[in-house]
Amino acid sequence: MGGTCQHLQIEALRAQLAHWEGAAAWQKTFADPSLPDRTAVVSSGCPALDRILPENGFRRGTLVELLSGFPGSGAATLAFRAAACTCRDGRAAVVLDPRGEFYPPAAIAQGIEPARLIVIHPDNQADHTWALDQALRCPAVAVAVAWPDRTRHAPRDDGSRHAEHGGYGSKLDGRTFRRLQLAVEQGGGLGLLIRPATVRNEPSWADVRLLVEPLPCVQMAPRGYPVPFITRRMRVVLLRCRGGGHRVPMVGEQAVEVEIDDEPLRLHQA
Amino acid sequence: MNRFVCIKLDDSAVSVETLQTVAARCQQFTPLVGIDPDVFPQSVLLDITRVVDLFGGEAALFQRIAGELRAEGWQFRAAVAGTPGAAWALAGYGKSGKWGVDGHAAIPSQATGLNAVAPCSSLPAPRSSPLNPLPLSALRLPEPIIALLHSLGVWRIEQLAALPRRELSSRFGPELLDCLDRVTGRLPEPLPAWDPLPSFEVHWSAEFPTTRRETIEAALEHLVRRLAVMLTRASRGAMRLECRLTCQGKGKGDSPHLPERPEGCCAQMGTVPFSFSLGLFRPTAWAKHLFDLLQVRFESLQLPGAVEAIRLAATTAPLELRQQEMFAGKGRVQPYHLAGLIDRLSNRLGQTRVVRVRLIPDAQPELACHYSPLVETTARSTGFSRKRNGFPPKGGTTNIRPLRLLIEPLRLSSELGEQFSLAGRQQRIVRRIGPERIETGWWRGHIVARDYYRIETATGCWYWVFRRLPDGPWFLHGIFD
Repeated sequence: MGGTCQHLQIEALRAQLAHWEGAAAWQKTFADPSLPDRTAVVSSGCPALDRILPENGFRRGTLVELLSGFPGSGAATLAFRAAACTCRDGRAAVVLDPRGEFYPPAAIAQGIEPARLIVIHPDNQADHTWALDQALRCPAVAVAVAWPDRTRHAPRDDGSRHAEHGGYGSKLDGRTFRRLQLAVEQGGGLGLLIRPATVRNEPSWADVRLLVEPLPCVQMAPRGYPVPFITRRMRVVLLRCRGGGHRVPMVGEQAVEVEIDDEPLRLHQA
Repeated sequence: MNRFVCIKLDDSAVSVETLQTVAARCQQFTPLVGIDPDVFPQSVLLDITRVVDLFGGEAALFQRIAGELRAEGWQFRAAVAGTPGAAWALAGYGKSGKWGVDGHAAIPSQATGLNAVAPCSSLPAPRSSPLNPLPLSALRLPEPIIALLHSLGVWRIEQLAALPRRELSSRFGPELLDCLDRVTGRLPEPLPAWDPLPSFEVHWSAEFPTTRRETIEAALEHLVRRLAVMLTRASRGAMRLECRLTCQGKGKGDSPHLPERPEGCCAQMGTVPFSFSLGLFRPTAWAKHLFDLLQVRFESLQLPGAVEAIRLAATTAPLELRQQEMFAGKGRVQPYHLAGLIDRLSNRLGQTRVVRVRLIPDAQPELACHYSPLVETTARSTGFSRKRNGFPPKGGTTNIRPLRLLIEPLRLSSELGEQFSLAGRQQRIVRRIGPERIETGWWRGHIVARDYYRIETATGCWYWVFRRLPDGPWFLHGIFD
């Protein structure tokens, strides 16, 4: 009985918090009603993931953090999946690639139209922050993808891939984070930040913070398929969400396992 | 019926540049504006044949042209007639008042009806022709012929027109008749059409050389405004801006103060040209946008010395017509939003750092995409290309590719067993998928032969590795991030 009481109390507090934050977001959103679709919620590209998100997707005009436990965990794949859904309205997708390691064909394979893709290779940390801020602030940009903590110099002045290691790199600090959040609120796009899992206990200005952890693959041989195929699995944990919608997720619902088929890339709940 | 307006400036020593300014002003009325200081001195000619109806009649159009030029302070006489020559003659020698002295007298539209249209119209011109009382010099005749005619008592055009044509030709040479026929329209005379693309260049020189950035920026802003006005009038937008600063001689060290000059060196010798340029994603004539871009660039510049003069020149392209949406909210996404972003990014980060992606059907993964700057300083292309370049991807790329491709493949080991070490950590391989054999590049003189595998570690991370064929070492090439 006492447990239920506590549970109800927590629910009530949670609802109140959601109301406050939601009301604040509402006010901010409608203070300038010029952008028609800034309140639209866009699918993350993965129905299973949508289900654990408070509004069944990512809300435009907000930042989303995807924390990746290891390199190769698949956080960026999820990010570009969401980016492809977001820029279906014909607006631009901006990728900030300070290292020059971003490989566009993979993003295009996720469904991003190359004609709408703008890649930026910032030279230093200040330019990186500034360029990300500008991209988020621009109403013509549907989504900006960045690795704000992974910044290093690698220009390609002749259009080809060349190694050139300079060096800069630092963590996204709180003030910059807040600046980016204000920028994306103004621009009405979606900011997808792929960050290392080491920042999971740091404060965040993102509306949603997800942790992506890889899971061992399973080999599947469903009926009708001549050869077994490999699916890629990952566990996505909702670490934090702000604003709240109609459904604030229960504790047990906060993680979901998603699978990516070999090809074509499809995401579904495990 | 052809109609021409001639605007003859009162200033007899008027420069070609001034005429061009007037011509540029007149291009709002008709696309055919002519200047030829040798044939039609001091004059700008407008072919208004096909635009009269757009302005509600000849008189109204003439009033408007004259009114606008007068409002700008030009002193001129103007006339309208059926040939450029007649218009010039009337503007220069026509009766004051009736023919628009200073351009503010109305012209009775019937009085302008010089019937000089049909080449077959017979001379002498009808008695009602307003050309009749004009002096002979209105025909632009050579001086000796005028003197000869004067000595014969011929002073006005009607007297000349009354003379028999055959005699005129044999007595005075063919030139006289040619001149007369050009004015009356019997011989065609082309309008000396002025190249409608003026150079968009503005110039500012300081009274005293200055290093004050505020002053220079204010001058730049002023120049940009002037340039924007020129661009708007010509319906063109800047694709590239070139800013050339004339600075005083090289300062020693980094001091921005007035630099010392070598002895015996005159002021002209001490100047250092200093220029920078910026490209734009879409042509624009928007002064604020141009100035913002210039300012960003200017802020990052180290001036070699005090600035004496600034010259700002624009390479232009036709301005894209922008439809005004009456009910659109001001925040609605417009093409210039994206163009503005790309301009700002390109000008601060450098044009090669803000790029678009083009997929290339090349088997070698690192060559399968090419970056090209969104803002090209040379190319004429503007904006995104309409064609869907390689989307959906054709051939080659149906195989799964990693989102992160290392610039230089990272050498792992000579043999890839159950484990490999990456970033100081041992990774256990639980599965490898492949191979995907890629053999290509022989025509580049550098044969690439690789067997690619997608490997999965015990933690569930995916990597893209290859073995250099036939028996080379293993490399990590990509990470399925």
